[in-house]
Amino acid sequence: MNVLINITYQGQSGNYLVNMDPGVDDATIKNVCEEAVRSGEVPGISPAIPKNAFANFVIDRFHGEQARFVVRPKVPFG
Amino acid sequence: MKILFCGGGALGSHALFLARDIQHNLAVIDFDRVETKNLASQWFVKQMIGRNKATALKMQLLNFYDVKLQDYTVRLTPLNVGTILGDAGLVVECFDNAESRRTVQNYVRSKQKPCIHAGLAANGEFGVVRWDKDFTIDEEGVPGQATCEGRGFLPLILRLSSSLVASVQFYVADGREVSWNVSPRNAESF
Amino acid sequence: MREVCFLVVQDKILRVYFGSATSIPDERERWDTIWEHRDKITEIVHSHPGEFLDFSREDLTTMEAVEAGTGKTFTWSIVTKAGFRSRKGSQDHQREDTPWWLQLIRRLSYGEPRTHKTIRKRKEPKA
Repeated sequence: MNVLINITYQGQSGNYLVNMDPGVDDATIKNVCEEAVRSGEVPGISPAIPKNAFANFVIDRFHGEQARFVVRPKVPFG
Repeated sequence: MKILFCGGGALGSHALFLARDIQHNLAVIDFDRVETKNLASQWFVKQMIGRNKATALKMQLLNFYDVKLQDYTVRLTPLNVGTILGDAGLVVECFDNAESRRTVQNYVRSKQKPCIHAGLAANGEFGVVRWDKDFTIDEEGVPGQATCEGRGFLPLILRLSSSLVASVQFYVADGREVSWNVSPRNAESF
Repeated sequence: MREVCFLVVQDKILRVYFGSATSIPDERERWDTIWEHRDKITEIVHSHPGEFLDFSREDLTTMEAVEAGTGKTFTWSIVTKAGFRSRKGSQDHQREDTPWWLQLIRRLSYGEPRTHKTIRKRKEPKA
Protein backbone atom coordinates (compact mmCIF):
# COMPACT_ATOMS: atom_id res chain seq x y z
CA MET A 1 0.00 0.00 0.00
CA ASN A 2 1.10 3.58 -0.58
CA VAL A 3 2.38 5.23 2.55
CA LEU A 4 2.98 8.97 2.69
CA ILE A 5 6.07 9.59 4.80
CA ASN A 6 6.61 13.11 6.05
CA ILE A 7 10.21 13.70 7.03
CA THR A 8 11.50 16.63 9.07
CA TYR A 9 15.22 17.24 9.49
CA GLN A 10 16.88 20.34 10.89
CA GLY A 11 13.98 22.59 10.03
CA GLN A 12 13.53 21.20 6.53
CA SER A 13 10.64 18.95 5.68
CA GLY A 14 9.43 16.97 2.74
CA ASN A 15 7.11 14.17 1.75
CA TYR A 16 8.00 10.79 0.30
CA LEU A 17 5.39 8.46 -1.11
CA VAL A 18 6.42 4.83 -1.06
CA ASN A 19 4.67 1.56 -1.64
CA MET A 20 5.30 -0.57 1.43
CA ASP A 21 3.63 -2.73 4.01
CA PRO A 22 2.61 -0.34 6.80
CA GLY A 23 3.80 -2.88 9.34
CA VAL A 24 7.47 -2.45 8.45
CA ASP A 25 9.62 -1.79 11.52
CA ASP A 26 10.85 1.67 12.49
CA ALA A 27 14.52 0.98 11.80
CA THR A 28 13.82 -0.08 8.21
CA ILE A 29 11.56 2.90 7.59
CA LYS A 30 14.21 5.30 8.88
CA ASN A 31 16.80 3.59 6.74
CA VAL A 32 14.66 3.83 3.62
CA CYS A 33 13.98 7.50 4.33
CA GLU A 34 17.68 8.21 4.78
CA GLU A 35 18.46 6.62 1.43
CA ALA A 36 15.57 8.42 -0.24
CA VAL A 37 16.74 11.80 1.06
CA ARG A 38 20.30 11.08 0.04
CA SER A 39 19.10 10.12 -3.43
CA GLY A 40 17.40 13.47 -3.78
CA GLU A 41 13.93 11.97 -3.83
CA VAL A 42 12.53 14.10 -1.01
CA PRO A 43 12.04 17.68 -2.20
CA GLY A 44 12.53 20.15 0.58
CA ILE A 45 15.35 18.30 2.31
CA SER A 46 18.93 18.68 1.22
CA PRO A 47 20.48 15.32 0.24
CA ALA A 48 23.61 16.12 2.27
CA ILE A 49 22.55 14.38 5.46
CA PRO A 50 24.93 12.27 7.53
CA LYS A 51 24.70 8.52 7.92
CA ASN A 52 22.16 7.45 10.51
CA ALA A 53 20.70 10.97 10.45
CA PHE A 54 17.40 9.63 11.75
CA ALA A 55 18.82 7.23 14.31
CA ASN A 56 17.34 9.14 17.28
CA PHE A 57 14.17 10.16 15.49
CA VAL A 58 10.73 8.75 16.17
CA ILE A 59 7.98 7.67 13.81
CA ASP A 60 4.33 8.58 14.29
CA ARG A 61 2.02 6.26 12.39
CA PHE A 62 -1.42 7.32 11.27
CA HIS A 63 -3.67 4.74 9.67
CA GLY A 64 -6.54 6.30 7.82
CA GLU A 65 -7.66 6.47 4.22
CA GLN A 66 -4.09 7.42 3.41
CA ALA A 67 -1.54 5.72 5.63
CA ARG A 68 0.82 8.38 6.88
CA PHE A 69 4.06 8.21 8.81
CA VAL A 70 5.85 11.19 10.32
CA VAL A 71 9.60 10.80 10.81
CA ARG A 72 10.54 13.52 13.24
CA PRO A 73 12.88 14.54 16.02
CA LYS A 74 11.76 13.94 19.58
CA VAL A 75 9.64 16.70 21.08
CA PRO A 76 10.16 16.46 24.84
CA PHE A 77 9.95 20.16 25.62
CA GLY A 78 7.05 22.46 26.35
CA MET B 1 -16.57 23.52 29.81
CA LYS B 2 -13.37 23.79 31.76
CA ILE B 3 -10.24 23.76 29.59
CA LEU B 4 -7.19 22.94 31.70
CA PHE B 5 -3.72 23.84 30.45
CA CYS B 6 -1.04 21.65 31.98
CA GLY B 7 2.12 23.73 32.00
CA GLY B 8 2.57 27.49 31.84
CA GLY B 9 5.94 27.53 30.10
CA ALA B 10 6.80 28.53 26.56
CA LEU B 11 3.91 26.71 24.94
CA GLY B 12 1.37 26.98 27.74
CA SER B 13 1.83 30.70 28.41
CA HIS B 14 1.54 31.65 24.74
CA ALA B 15 -1.35 29.28 24.23
CA LEU B 16 -3.25 30.95 27.04
CA PHE B 17 -2.51 34.37 25.56
CA LEU B 18 -4.06 33.13 22.29
CA ALA B 19 -6.92 31.26 23.96
CA ARG B 20 -8.13 34.26 25.91
CA ASP B 21 -11.17 34.75 23.70
CA ILE B 22 -12.40 31.17 23.97
CA GLN B 23 -15.77 31.33 25.69
CA HIS B 24 -15.11 28.59 28.22
CA ASN B 25 -13.57 28.37 31.68
CA LEU B 26 -9.80 28.43 31.49
CA ALA B 27 -7.42 26.95 34.05
CA VAL B 28 -3.70 26.31 34.27
CA ILE B 29 -1.44 24.23 36.50
CA ASP B 30 2.24 24.95 37.05
CA PHE B 31 4.33 24.82 40.22
CA ASP B 32 7.33 26.70 38.79
CA ARG B 33 8.26 30.37 39.30
CA VAL B 34 8.95 33.01 36.70
CA GLU B 35 12.67 33.64 36.26
CA THR B 36 14.48 36.30 34.31
CA LYS B 37 15.58 33.81 31.68
CA ASN B 38 11.93 32.93 31.00
CA LEU B 39 11.22 36.39 29.61
CA ALA B 40 13.00 35.49 26.37
CA SER B 41 10.62 32.74 25.36
CA GLN B 42 7.60 32.69 27.67
CA TRP B 43 4.71 35.09 27.92
CA PHE B 44 5.60 36.82 31.15
CA VAL B 45 6.35 40.44 31.89
CA LYS B 46 9.26 41.40 34.10
CA GLN B 47 6.97 42.46 36.91
CA MET B 48 6.04 38.78 37.34
CA ILE B 49 9.56 37.59 38.08
CA GLY B 50 9.49 35.57 41.26
CA ARG B 51 5.80 34.78 41.11
CA ASN B 52 4.36 31.35 40.48
CA LYS B 53 3.78 30.94 36.74
CA ALA B 54 0.14 29.89 37.02
CA THR B 55 -0.61 32.89 39.23
CA ALA B 56 1.37 35.20 36.95
CA LEU B 57 -0.68 34.10 33.97
CA LYS B 58 -3.86 34.59 35.95
CA MET B 59 -2.82 38.14 36.81
CA GLN B 60 -1.73 38.97 33.29
CA LEU B 61 -4.93 37.76 31.67
CA LEU B 62 -7.05 39.56 34.22
CA ASN B 63 -5.13 42.82 34.22
CA PHE B 64 -4.54 43.06 30.49
CA TYR B 65 -7.72 41.53 29.12
CA ASP B 66 -10.22 41.09 31.96
CA VAL B 67 -10.15 37.35 31.36
CA LYS B 68 -10.48 34.97 34.28
CA LEU B 69 -8.09 32.05 34.70
CA GLN B 70 -8.09 29.51 37.50
CA ASP B 71 -4.58 28.86 38.76
CA TYR B 72 -3.25 25.67 40.34
CA THR B 73 0.15 26.42 41.82
CA VAL B 74 1.09 22.84 42.65
CA ARG B 75 3.07 20.11 40.96
CA LEU B 76 0.84 17.59 39.24
CA THR B 77 1.29 14.10 40.70
CA PRO B 78 -0.57 10.80 40.53
CA LEU B 79 -2.04 11.69 43.92
CA ASN B 80 -3.67 14.98 42.93
CA VAL B 81 -4.27 14.42 39.20
CA GLY B 82 -7.84 13.26 39.75
CA THR B 83 -8.68 16.29 41.84
CA ILE B 84 -7.20 18.77 39.39
CA LEU B 85 -8.12 17.18 36.06
CA GLY B 86 -11.33 15.56 37.20
CA ASP B 87 -13.74 18.29 36.16
CA ALA B 88 -11.90 19.36 33.02
CA GLY B 89 -13.78 18.91 29.77
CA LEU B 90 -10.57 19.22 27.77
CA VAL B 91 -6.98 18.83 28.91
CA VAL B 92 -4.29 20.73 27.00
CA GLU B 93 -0.92 19.23 27.91
CA CYS B 94 2.22 21.31 27.41
CA PHE B 95 4.52 20.05 30.14
CA ASP B 96 8.25 19.97 29.57
CA ASN B 97 9.09 16.62 31.13
CA ALA B 98 8.14 13.05 30.45
CA GLU B 99 7.14 12.21 34.00
CA SER B 100 4.46 14.88 34.16
CA ARG B 101 3.27 14.02 30.66
CA ARG B 102 2.88 10.43 31.75
CA THR B 103 0.85 11.44 34.79
CA VAL B 104 -1.54 13.29 32.51
CA GLN B 105 -1.67 10.59 29.87
CA ASN B 106 -2.28 7.77 32.31
CA TYR B 107 -5.13 9.70 33.87
CA VAL B 108 -6.87 10.89 30.69
CA ARG B 109 -6.68 7.41 29.20
CA SER B 110 -8.12 5.83 32.31
CA LYS B 111 -11.00 8.31 32.26
CA GLN B 112 -11.25 8.60 28.47
CA LYS B 113 -10.96 12.33 28.88
CA PRO B 114 -10.24 14.42 25.76
CA CYS B 115 -6.63 15.51 25.79
CA ILE B 116 -4.37 17.24 23.31
CA HIS B 117 -0.58 17.41 23.64
CA ALA B 118 2.03 19.78 22.30
CA GLY B 119 5.77 19.30 22.27
CA LEU B 120 8.87 21.03 21.02
CA ALA B 121 12.09 19.51 19.72
CA ALA B 122 15.47 20.67 20.96
CA ASN B 123 16.83 23.77 19.29
CA GLY B 124 13.35 24.72 18.24
CA GLU B 125 13.61 22.83 14.98
CA PHE B 126 10.20 21.19 15.11
CA GLY B 127 7.00 20.88 17.10
CA VAL B 128 3.91 18.71 17.15
CA VAL B 129 0.32 18.99 18.27
CA ARG B 130 -1.23 15.58 18.75
CA TRP B 131 -4.45 14.26 20.16
CA ASP B 132 -3.76 11.74 22.88
CA LYS B 133 -4.49 8.60 20.89
CA ASP B 134 -1.66 9.53 18.51
CA PHE B 135 0.79 10.85 21.10
CA THR B 136 3.84 8.94 22.27
CA ILE B 137 5.80 10.58 25.06
CA ASP B 138 9.41 11.36 24.14
CA GLU B 139 11.95 11.27 26.92
CA GLU B 140 14.14 14.26 27.45
CA GLY B 141 17.63 13.97 26.04
CA VAL B 142 20.88 13.74 27.90
CA PRO B 143 21.88 16.43 30.40
CA GLY B 144 23.45 19.34 28.62
CA GLN B 145 21.41 18.86 25.48
CA ALA B 146 20.14 22.03 23.87
CA THR B 147 16.63 22.98 24.92
CA CYS B 148 14.30 25.71 23.70
CA GLU B 149 15.05 28.26 26.35
CA GLY B 150 16.79 31.42 25.44
CA ARG B 151 16.45 33.61 22.41
CA GLY B 152 15.52 32.84 18.84
CA PHE B 153 12.71 30.35 19.36
CA LEU B 154 9.72 32.66 19.60
CA PRO B 155 8.57 32.34 15.99
CA LEU B 156 8.33 28.57 16.22
CA ILE B 157 6.91 28.68 19.75
CA LEU B 158 4.19 31.05 18.64
CA ARG B 159 3.46 29.08 15.49
CA LEU B 160 3.15 25.93 17.55
CA SER B 161 1.05 27.62 20.24
CA SER B 162 -1.32 29.06 17.67
CA SER B 163 -1.69 25.65 16.03
CA LEU B 164 -2.44 24.18 19.43
CA VAL B 165 -5.10 26.79 20.17
CA ALA B 166 -6.56 26.39 16.68
CA SER B 167 -7.02 22.70 17.46
CA VAL B 168 -8.69 23.60 20.74
CA GLN B 169 -11.04 25.90 18.86
CA PHE B 170 -11.86 23.21 16.29
CA TYR B 171 -12.62 20.77 19.07
CA VAL B 172 -14.75 23.18 21.04
CA ALA B 173 -16.67 24.19 17.93
CA ASP B 174 -17.58 20.80 16.53
CA GLY B 175 -15.49 18.06 18.09
CA ARG B 176 -12.93 17.87 15.27
CA GLU B 177 -9.55 16.49 16.32
CA VAL B 178 -6.86 18.18 14.25
CA SER B 179 -3.17 17.44 14.67
CA TRP B 180 -0.19 19.49 13.43
CA ASN B 181 3.40 19.23 12.38
CA VAL B 182 5.09 22.60 12.87
CA SER B 183 8.47 23.62 11.55
CA PRO B 184 10.13 27.03 11.19
CA ARG B 185 8.89 27.18 7.59
CA ASN B 186 5.58 25.44 7.74
CA ALA B 187 2.59 24.39 9.81
CA GLU B 188 0.73 21.42 8.40
CA SER B 189 -2.54 20.14 9.80
CA PHE B 190 -3.98 16.70 9.26
CA MET C 1 14.40 1.46 -11.49
CA ARG C 2 17.29 1.50 -9.07
CA GLU C 3 19.40 -1.21 -7.48
CA VAL C 4 18.68 -1.71 -3.81
CA CYS C 5 20.66 -3.78 -1.32
CA PHE C 6 19.47 -5.24 1.99
CA LEU C 7 21.67 -6.70 4.72
CA VAL C 8 19.44 -9.24 6.42
CA VAL C 9 19.70 -10.75 9.89
CA GLN C 10 17.27 -13.66 10.23
CA ASP C 11 13.95 -12.00 9.31
CA LYS C 12 14.98 -8.43 10.05
CA ILE C 13 16.52 -5.90 7.71
CA LEU C 14 19.71 -4.60 9.24
CA ARG C 15 20.44 -1.96 6.63
CA VAL C 16 19.07 -0.67 3.32
CA TYR C 17 21.17 0.86 0.55
CA PHE C 18 19.92 2.63 -2.56
CA GLY C 19 21.97 2.64 -5.71
CA SER C 20 21.57 3.85 -9.26
CA ALA C 21 19.90 2.09 -12.16
CA THR C 22 23.02 0.04 -12.77
CA SER C 23 24.92 -0.31 -9.53
CA ILE C 24 25.18 0.30 -5.83
CA PRO C 25 28.10 2.62 -5.02
CA ASP C 26 30.95 1.13 -3.11
CA GLU C 27 30.84 2.61 0.40
CA ARG C 28 33.16 2.25 3.32
CA GLU C 29 30.16 2.27 5.65
CA ARG C 30 28.70 -0.85 4.05
CA TRP C 31 31.87 -2.77 4.59
CA ASP C 32 32.08 -1.51 8.19
CA THR C 33 28.49 -2.63 8.81
CA ILE C 34 29.09 -6.06 7.31
CA TRP C 35 32.26 -6.42 9.37
CA GLU C 36 30.57 -5.34 12.58
CA HIS C 37 27.64 -7.71 12.10
CA ARG C 38 29.44 -10.49 10.25
CA ASP C 39 28.43 -13.10 12.81
CA LYS C 40 24.75 -12.18 12.59
CA ILE C 41 24.15 -11.40 8.92
CA THR C 42 22.27 -14.27 7.30
CA GLU C 43 21.78 -12.90 3.81
CA ILE C 44 22.93 -10.09 1.54
CA VAL C 45 20.43 -9.40 -1.21
CA HIS C 46 20.34 -6.90 -4.01
CA SER C 47 18.14 -6.18 -6.98
CA HIS C 48 19.07 -6.19 -10.63
CA PRO C 49 17.56 -4.25 -13.50
CA GLY C 50 15.49 -6.12 -16.00
CA GLU C 51 15.43 -9.85 -15.66
CA PHE C 52 19.15 -10.46 -15.26
CA LEU C 53 18.90 -13.18 -12.64
CA ASP C 54 22.54 -14.04 -12.22
CA PHE C 55 25.60 -12.73 -10.42
CA SER C 56 27.53 -10.22 -12.48
CA ARG C 57 31.31 -10.11 -12.65
CA GLU C 58 31.30 -7.20 -10.25
CA ASP C 59 28.96 -9.06 -7.88
CA LEU C 60 31.31 -12.06 -7.87
CA THR C 61 34.43 -10.04 -7.12
CA THR C 62 32.62 -8.19 -4.34
CA MET C 63 31.30 -11.41 -2.82
CA GLU C 64 34.74 -12.98 -2.92
CA ALA C 65 36.34 -9.93 -1.32
CA VAL C 66 33.76 -9.70 1.46
CA GLU C 67 33.99 -13.38 2.32
CA ALA C 68 37.77 -13.29 2.25
CA GLY C 69 37.79 -10.19 4.43
CA THR C 70 35.31 -11.47 7.00
CA GLY C 71 36.18 -15.14 6.95
CA LYS C 72 32.45 -15.84 6.64
CA THR C 73 30.30 -17.47 4.01
CA PHE C 74 27.08 -15.57 3.41
CA THR C 75 23.95 -16.29 1.44
CA TRP C 76 24.04 -13.87 -1.48
CA SER C 77 20.80 -13.25 -3.35
CA ILE C 78 19.64 -11.53 -6.50
CA VAL C 79 16.12 -10.25 -6.96
CA THR C 80 14.49 -9.22 -10.21
CA LYS C 81 10.88 -8.32 -10.86
CA ALA C 82 9.96 -11.94 -11.30
CA GLY C 83 12.96 -13.91 -10.06
CA PHE C 84 14.83 -14.71 -6.86
CA ARG C 85 18.14 -16.59 -6.82
CA SER C 86 20.69 -17.32 -4.14
CA ARG C 87 24.23 -18.58 -3.84
CA LYS C 88 26.01 -19.96 -0.80
CA GLY C 89 29.55 -21.21 -1.27
CA SER C 90 29.51 -22.46 -4.82
CA GLN C 91 25.89 -23.60 -4.83
CA ASP C 92 23.31 -21.59 -6.74
CA HIS C 93 19.62 -22.21 -6.48
CA GLN C 94 16.40 -20.68 -7.61
CA ARG C 95 14.32 -19.49 -4.62
CA GLU C 96 10.66 -20.29 -4.37
CA ASP C 97 10.14 -18.95 -0.84
CA THR C 98 8.85 -15.42 -0.31
CA PRO C 99 10.43 -13.74 2.73
CA TRP C 100 8.47 -10.68 3.81
CA TRP C 101 11.15 -8.28 2.56
CA LEU C 102 11.07 -9.63 -0.99
CA GLN C 103 8.10 -7.48 -1.87
CA LEU C 104 9.68 -4.44 -0.21
CA ILE C 105 12.94 -4.68 -2.15
CA ARG C 106 10.98 -5.07 -5.38
CA ARG C 107 8.82 -2.05 -4.60
CA LEU C 108 11.81 0.06 -3.72
CA SER C 109 13.66 -1.10 -6.82
CA TYR C 110 11.01 -1.10 -9.48
CA GLY C 111 8.40 1.36 -8.17
CA GLU C 112 8.75 4.78 -9.75
CA PRO C 113 10.33 7.39 -7.43
CA ARG C 114 7.54 9.68 -6.43
CA THR C 115 7.13 13.05 -4.92
CA HIS C 116 3.94 13.91 -3.13
CA LYS C 117 1.92 16.59 -4.76
CA THR C 118 -0.63 18.38 -2.65
CA ILE C 119 -3.89 18.58 -4.49
CA ARG C 120 -5.83 21.56 -3.27
CA LYS C 121 -9.53 21.55 -3.75
CA ARG C 122 -10.57 24.60 -5.64
CA LYS C 123 -12.98 26.75 -3.68
CA GLU C 124 -16.22 27.18 -5.47
CA PRO C 125 -17.54 30.74 -5.40
CA LYS C 126 -20.52 31.23 -3.11
CA ALA C 127 -23.84 31.52 -4.82
